[in-house]
Amino acid sequence: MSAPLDPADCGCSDYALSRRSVLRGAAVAGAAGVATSLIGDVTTSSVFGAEPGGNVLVVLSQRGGADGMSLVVPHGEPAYYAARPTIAIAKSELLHADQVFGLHPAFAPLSPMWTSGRLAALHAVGLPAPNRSHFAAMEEIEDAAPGSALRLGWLNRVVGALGDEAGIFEGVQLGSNVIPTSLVGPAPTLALANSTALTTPYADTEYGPALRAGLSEMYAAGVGPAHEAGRRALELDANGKVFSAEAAKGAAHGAAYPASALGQALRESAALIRSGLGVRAITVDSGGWDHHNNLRALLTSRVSDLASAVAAFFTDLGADGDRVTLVTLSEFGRRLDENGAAGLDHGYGNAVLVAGAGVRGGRYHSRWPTLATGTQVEGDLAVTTDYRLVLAEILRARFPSIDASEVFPGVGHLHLGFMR
Amino acid sequence: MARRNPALLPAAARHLADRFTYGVTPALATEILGFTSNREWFEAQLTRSQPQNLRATLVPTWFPLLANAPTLSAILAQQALRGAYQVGNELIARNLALRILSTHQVYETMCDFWANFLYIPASEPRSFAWRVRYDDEVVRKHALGTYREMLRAAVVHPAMAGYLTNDLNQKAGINENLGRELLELHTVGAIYSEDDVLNSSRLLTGYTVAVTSNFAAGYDANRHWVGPVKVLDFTHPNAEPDGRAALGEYLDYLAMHPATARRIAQRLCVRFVSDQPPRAVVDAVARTYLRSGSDIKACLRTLVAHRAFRRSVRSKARTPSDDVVHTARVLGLTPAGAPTANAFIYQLIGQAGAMGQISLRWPAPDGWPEQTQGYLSASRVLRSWRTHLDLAGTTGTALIDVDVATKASQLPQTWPKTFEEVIDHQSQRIIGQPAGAAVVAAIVRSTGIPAAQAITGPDDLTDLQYRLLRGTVLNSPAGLQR
Repeated sequence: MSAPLDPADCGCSDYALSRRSVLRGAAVAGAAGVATSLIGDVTTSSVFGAEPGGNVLVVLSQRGGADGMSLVVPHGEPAYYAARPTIAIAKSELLHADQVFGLHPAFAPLSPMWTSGRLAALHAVGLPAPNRSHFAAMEEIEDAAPGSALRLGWLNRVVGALGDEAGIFEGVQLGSNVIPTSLVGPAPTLALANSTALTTPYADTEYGPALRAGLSEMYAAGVGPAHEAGRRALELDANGKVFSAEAAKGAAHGAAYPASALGQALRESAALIRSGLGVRAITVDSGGWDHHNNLRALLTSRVSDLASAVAAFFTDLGADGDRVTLVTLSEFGRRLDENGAAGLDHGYGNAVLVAGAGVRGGRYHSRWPTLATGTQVEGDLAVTTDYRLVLAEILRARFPSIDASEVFPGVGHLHLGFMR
Repeated sequence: MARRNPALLPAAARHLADRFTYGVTPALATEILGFTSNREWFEAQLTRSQPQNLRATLVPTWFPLLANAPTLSAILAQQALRGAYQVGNELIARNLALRILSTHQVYETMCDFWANFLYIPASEPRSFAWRVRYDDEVVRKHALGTYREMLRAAVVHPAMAGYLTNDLNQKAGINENLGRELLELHTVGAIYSEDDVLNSSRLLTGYTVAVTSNFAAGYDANRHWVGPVKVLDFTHPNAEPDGRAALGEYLDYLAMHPATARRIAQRLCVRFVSDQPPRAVVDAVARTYLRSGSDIKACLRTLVAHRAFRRSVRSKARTPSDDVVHTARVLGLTPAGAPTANAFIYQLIGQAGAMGQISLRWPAPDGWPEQTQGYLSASRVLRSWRTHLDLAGTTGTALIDVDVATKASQLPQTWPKTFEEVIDHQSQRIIGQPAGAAVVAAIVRSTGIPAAQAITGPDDLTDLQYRLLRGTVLNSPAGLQR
């Protein structure tokens, strides 16, 4: 069976397969001498502050609704095995199992980080009320001010809170040119497809400077989205060369990224962090977690990709990793009961991983609701921890100058204890 | 003082064409001005009564994989001869070529709109073999018909069953994927309960597609879930072993639900009016939708007649895919075939990809965002600028299998002119407005030709000067807007 006809794959919002299509597209276009880029399924967004060398937050979104109970398996619950006759993972296969939980075996590349206390797992995290729609749930997570009429993404509010310097590199998205909800708002943001070709046209030719001056003139005055976009593009031209040069050096410290879109996005994120432009937050947005069928095989390959990419990311960063904290988020967990196609339909409570600087790792942090019948929400794992509390605790630990209650209005304050 | 050049079109016609065509060419302007009113032209476009461009009729012959039956597509992929990627790329290229060439511009615009709404990506492995048929049998067939009929055709199509795993949805094991998106994306929006999703999915049981073998599609009543169902206010005994009649009633109910009317009206207005359309125009289109039995033509008539439409001049941005098509049209680049991966039409796909958006390559079932402000990222703008200049000359690595208009045909027909007059002529021709002082200054700077210098004919401009002139016109802020 050849790659394009992959019977194992569910077509439901199948980010992973679309990525393969796009990668093949890149190869064809490359042969034609045309620069191309990844689109849609893996995006990286970044927020930059004024000071190089500051702490960095990386939010890795698992689009599609990752099954948290396959990532962080509640092996201590007989109900887990009863509900999943063909897709449950035996305790003997799990990594770092305690009395209740264990990690999916494909997390093996991250074992050193777990053992050295730089990786922690949280469980039963999610939105305050169930929302099993991919689109509405992801929008709610990225917006993070439920009930507010203002459609401002929380990352944009982080930009605003950091923003004594309104430079173009304060808000950056890598991997796609489409600006995600979390970055929508008044603070300046930017989207890059990748680190190449971030200059005005023909910059290296004799008429490049005249073209650039002409563009500056045409976009200097005037209001409206097109004029503002042009001015951001000219700012990017000024700063982007630094990033492009850093990215061109390749990975450091022998880091071996997987040859996936996620691997590429994290490699470029590491280059951004090292480039000295003052990156403060990055979101990487990785699809392919919507497993309505054949979940075991599909999810294993996604976990493997994620684990090797994150492990390479921290290897690549070296000492810079001491200022970088990475957290995973997905729009919802999946049902407890497997469906008729060895998959799982959309559910509720989910698992979150936190890695890197400031993490009290090597352990599971959970106000575990159990899987007892009375605690489930419409047959799903309940949520006992609002995901915004997770982000707020990271912000408070790593960005003390930011008022987390402004970024996540109305969320309250509850110390979960997974950050030092 | 330089003499001003006449506009190709009056303002109202320009606005209508900016929104409902892929770029105003002199030929299109002549066509529009040949009607007694803009409305008459729009009606002719809605009925596709214009004679078709000869080359547009040849476009399907450029893409041999698109003629293959689904089973043959499946076999070619299994044998690793031609896979899902190539089939999808041919489909994307065909549609871009039609957008450049077809005289039925409103129809092509609406085909794009509906393909992005009842969305199935190109090259997705569980649907790719049927995806071209879906384009022809659902999108292109119903793009200017009724939504009710388009929805019926889409939901039971083998491409949709494969994409949203309805082939795995059967009475022995319900799979909610299509049942949920039918409600949320294709019709009423997220106003459903989880019980509604379950019953929606039950009604959809019975359809089969052999996505692991030959992609044969069918209906198996033995897989259909039988029993009473309730979704929103729709109830049905669903007592027959063959559930297709019940499903048809359910789809008609959804198509004509006021929430569906509202969602489709909103989407149309976001596409054609503005990213945040005034409520009045959305309400007006929704009323027409319900009153007309979901007649798409009637909805569009209401939309373009509304004052909110008339007031929305240049408030939308071009998506990257629309940018490359527009660039080809206004610069006089006519695709001539697609024999190799280097052909112009394929290179346009690559350029759109570098800017971040290729039609039918969005990876999730909600389609590309219709709000266009998100496409105006800094890196996209840098790459648009580069693409415009790359395509603005008479030579270039992208100009393969494309007819390039001669300099003489694009420049003024009477000479001499001052250089400023030439710039203004090109500005009217390419972006539909006079050249502002900043545009003139930018072009004077990069070409080194003084504004007042007399130009005696096309040969007075070198190819490079011609490229810098036209590329810079397209790179002005107006070049990003529609």
